[in-house]
Amino acid sequence: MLDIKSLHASVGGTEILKGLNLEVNAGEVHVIMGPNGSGKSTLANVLAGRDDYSVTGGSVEFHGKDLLELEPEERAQAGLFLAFQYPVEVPGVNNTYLLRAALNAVREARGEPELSAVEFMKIAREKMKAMQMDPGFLNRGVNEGFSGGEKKRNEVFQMSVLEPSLCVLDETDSGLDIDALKIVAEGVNALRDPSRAFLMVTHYQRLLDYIEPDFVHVLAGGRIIRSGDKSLALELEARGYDWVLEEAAA
Amino acid sequence: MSVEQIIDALKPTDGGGDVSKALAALSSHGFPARKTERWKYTRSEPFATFAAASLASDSASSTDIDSILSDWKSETGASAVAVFVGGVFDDERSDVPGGITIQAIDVAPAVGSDSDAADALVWLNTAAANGRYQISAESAVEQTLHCVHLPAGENSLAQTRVHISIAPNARLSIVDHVLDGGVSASMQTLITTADIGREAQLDHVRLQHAAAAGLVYTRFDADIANAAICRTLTLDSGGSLVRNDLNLRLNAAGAEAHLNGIYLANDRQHVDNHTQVEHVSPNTISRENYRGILRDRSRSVFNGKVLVHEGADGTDSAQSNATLLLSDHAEIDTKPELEIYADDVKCAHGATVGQLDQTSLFYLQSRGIDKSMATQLLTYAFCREITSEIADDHVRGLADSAIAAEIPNFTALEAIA
Repeated sequence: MLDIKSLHASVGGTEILKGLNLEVNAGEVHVIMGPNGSGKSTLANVLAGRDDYSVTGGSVEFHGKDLLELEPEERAQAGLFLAFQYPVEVPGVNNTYLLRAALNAVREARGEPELSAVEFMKIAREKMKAMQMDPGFLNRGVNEGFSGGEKKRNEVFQMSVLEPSLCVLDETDSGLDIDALKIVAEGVNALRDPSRAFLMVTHYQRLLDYIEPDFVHVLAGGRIIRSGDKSLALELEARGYDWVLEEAAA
Repeated sequence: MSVEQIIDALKPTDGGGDVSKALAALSSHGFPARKTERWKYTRSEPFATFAAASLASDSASSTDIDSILSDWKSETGASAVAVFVGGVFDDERSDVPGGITIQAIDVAPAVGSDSDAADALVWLNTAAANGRYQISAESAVEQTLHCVHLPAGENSLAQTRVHISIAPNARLSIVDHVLDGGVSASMQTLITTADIGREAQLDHVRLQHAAAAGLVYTRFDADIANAAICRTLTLDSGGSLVRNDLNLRLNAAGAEAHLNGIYLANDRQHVDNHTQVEHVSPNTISRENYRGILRDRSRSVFNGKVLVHEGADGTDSAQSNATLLLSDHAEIDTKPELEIYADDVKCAHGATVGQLDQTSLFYLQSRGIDKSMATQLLTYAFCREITSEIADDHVRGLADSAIAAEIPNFTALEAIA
C-alpha cells in the first residue's frame, strides 16, 4: 500500500530524513519510535503533504500512485489520514460542516454518492458515542475550546468517520491520561481491518499495551536503523535507545 | 475652492442657529488637510469635491425606489422597516413597529465634545442634512428596526441626521442598511447621536454596501448612562471611500460599550475607522474588536482611542484589531491610542496584521478540503468570530451573508459555527 524508498526531506534547509525506507501493507500496524529530533513527525507530515517540508530525494508510492505529486487534499481523498500531534483550532468553522465536507470529498473520490445532512448526522452521532465525546462538540468550531485530550479524541473520531486506508498517527498518545488513552486505543482498534494500515509515531511504549503492532521501527538520524516486532518496543522501554544507536553505528 | 462652492450653494437655506454656526465653522476651517492627525491617512478632498458638485446641480434623477425596496425586502426578509430616501424619512414606504416612534426634529443635538472637535463633514451634515429625526423607544422593543438609507439618484448627496433616545430600562435594536440604491456614484453622510438611559440597551448594526463609486461618511456618538449597554457593529463592504467616526461615552458606573467592526475591501477601496471610547466614570467596561480583509490595492485605517478620565478607576477596557492582507498591494494603518488619567485601570490592546494561518489551511486540506475552499472557509471564519456575537439570528444571518458575498465564489453559509 505504502512504499517509501530512500526518502530525503528537509525543513528550513536542514536535512531531517536521510534515506528512509519503509514498506507498509494493508492490514498491518507499524510503529515508529525513536529519540527526539530523529524525524518521526517529519515523516508523518511529509506523507500528509505539509509544505513546510521539502522532499529532496527518494520516492513514496501510495496505492501504486506517486504520493509526492499529490496536493494534501488529494492525498486525503486517496485514503491517507494524518492525526495531528497538535490538532489545530479553527474557530468559526463548524465541526459538523468540516467533517461532512471532508467525508463527501473523500466519498466523491471513492465514487460514492454524497451523504445528506441526515445520513451524515446518523453516522457522526454513532461514532462520537464510540469515542465517548459530547455530541455538543459537533456544533462548535473545529477543536475550539477543546482540551488537549478532547482534541486527540476528535482526531480519532474524524478518522473513524472518514475511514481512510492509511492512518498516520503523529504522537496521538502524548498528553493523554490513561482513560483517554484507552478510548483512543479502542477507537484505533475498532478501525483495524485487513484493508487498512496504520503508521503510528510514538514516544512511549505504553500505547502498545493497548494497540498491538505488527512491526516496530527505530528511526534515528533520519533513517530506520532497526526493525522488529513488539518485543523491540519492550526492549527499548527497558534499555533506552543508546544500544540501538551504538549497534547501528558499529 | 470646493468649500466656497459649498457655502455658496447652502447660503439660501434659512436654518436655525446651529446651521449658521456650522456654516461659519466650515467656512473658516474648511476640510481637514493631511496634517490633521485624524485625517492623516484618509483624504477629505473627494468628499468636498463631490459635495460641491452635487449641491451645485439640482438634477436629482429619481431611481425606482419601490422595486429596489421590494427586492431588498425579499432578499433580507426584513419587515420592520424605516425608509430614508436622499436623507429624508419616507413614512409611506415605512413600517415602524409599535414601541418605536420616529419624528422629525428642527434642531439635532450637537455632535462632538471638547475632546474630539467636530470637523467639516459634521458641519456639512449639520448645515445641510436633508432630514433630522428622533427615534425613540420607551420600553423594551422586541422587533429590530431596519433603517434603509438610499440615495435619491445618480451623483446625489444624501445627508441624514438621527438622534436615538432610549428611555431608562428600555431596549432597542437598530440595523442601518446603507445601500447603493441602484446608482453607481453617490455621497451619503449619516450622523447618529444616541442617549442611552439608565439600565437601557441599544444594539446598533450598520451594514454598509453603498455604490461602487460611493463616498460614505458616518458618525455615531452615544452617551451611555449607568448600567446601560451599547453594542455596535460596523460592517463595510461597499463604497470607494468610507470614513466612520465612532465616539462612545461611558458616563456612569456599570456602563458598557461593545464596539465591533468588519471591513472588507478590494480594488482601490479605502475604509477608515476612527473610534473613541471615553471612560468618564469609574467601573465602566469597553470591549472593542475590529477585523478586516483587504485585497487588491485596497487600504484601511484603524485608529482606536481609549480615553480614561481622571477618577475613572476600575475601568476595564480591551481592544483588538486584526487584518488579513490577501494582496501584496493592500495596506492597513492601525493605531491604538490610550490616554489614561486614572490609576486603577485595566486597558489591553493589540493589533495583528497577516495572512491566513498556514497550519489551519493545511489542517483543512489534510481532511480532503481543496485549497481554494479551505482558503474561503478560513477567510469567512476570520470575520465570523465577530458576527457570532450578534444575539439576533436574523441580523447575524444578514451580516454573515454580507461577508460571504465578499468572498469570491463562496457559498458555504452552512459552515457557520
